[in-house]
Amino acid sequence: MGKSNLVIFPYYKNSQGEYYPIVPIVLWQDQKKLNTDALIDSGATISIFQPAVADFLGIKIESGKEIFLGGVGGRIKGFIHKLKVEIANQTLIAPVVFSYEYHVSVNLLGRDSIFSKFKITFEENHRTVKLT
Amino acid sequence: MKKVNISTNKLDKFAGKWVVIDPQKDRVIAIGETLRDIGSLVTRPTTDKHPSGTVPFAHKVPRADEGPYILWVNPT
Repeated sequence: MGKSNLVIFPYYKNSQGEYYPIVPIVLWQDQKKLNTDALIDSGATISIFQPAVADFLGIKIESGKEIFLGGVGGRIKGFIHKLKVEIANQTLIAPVVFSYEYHVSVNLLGRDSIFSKFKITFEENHRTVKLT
Repeated sequence: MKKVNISTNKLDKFAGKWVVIDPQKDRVIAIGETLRDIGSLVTRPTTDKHPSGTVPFAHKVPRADEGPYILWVNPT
């Protein structure tokens, strides 16, 4: 667990009025940092990001370690990369899968190397997620 | 890229696009077809000290036919 540092994020509301625990993140690559966002997904064993993010950061997707992921949508092939990620004022290194077969418009923060760094509290009634 | 100044309550207008959100003002400040289009507004040098969530960030607005999400992934 990292140092105590409570950060509260309001849920993101989509156009259908649905709320999601999407939080801002920063991805470090070479000499630049990309500010974007990702959904905290306790159902995801590992993080998976949109291929556009890899393209923008100059990461060659196929250069990572091949992995197959299973989920509600079926089975997809991806490639694992290690990324420096800043979340709630903490910077860590986490495995991130990029897949050309991932067509969802949100990045997912999965458990591997991320959930162990925080106490994460989903407050559905308040539509907030707390990271400590 | 097109610079705008629109409330984030109207994100549905930009379904399928990449947008830049200013979290301090809770406004959409730019729209692009790709992440590269808006890249200059959402990248900073690694020496920049602003923490995440305090500077404009890139957000992909879900397509109109997406969601609600049931997301579960696991190595197989």
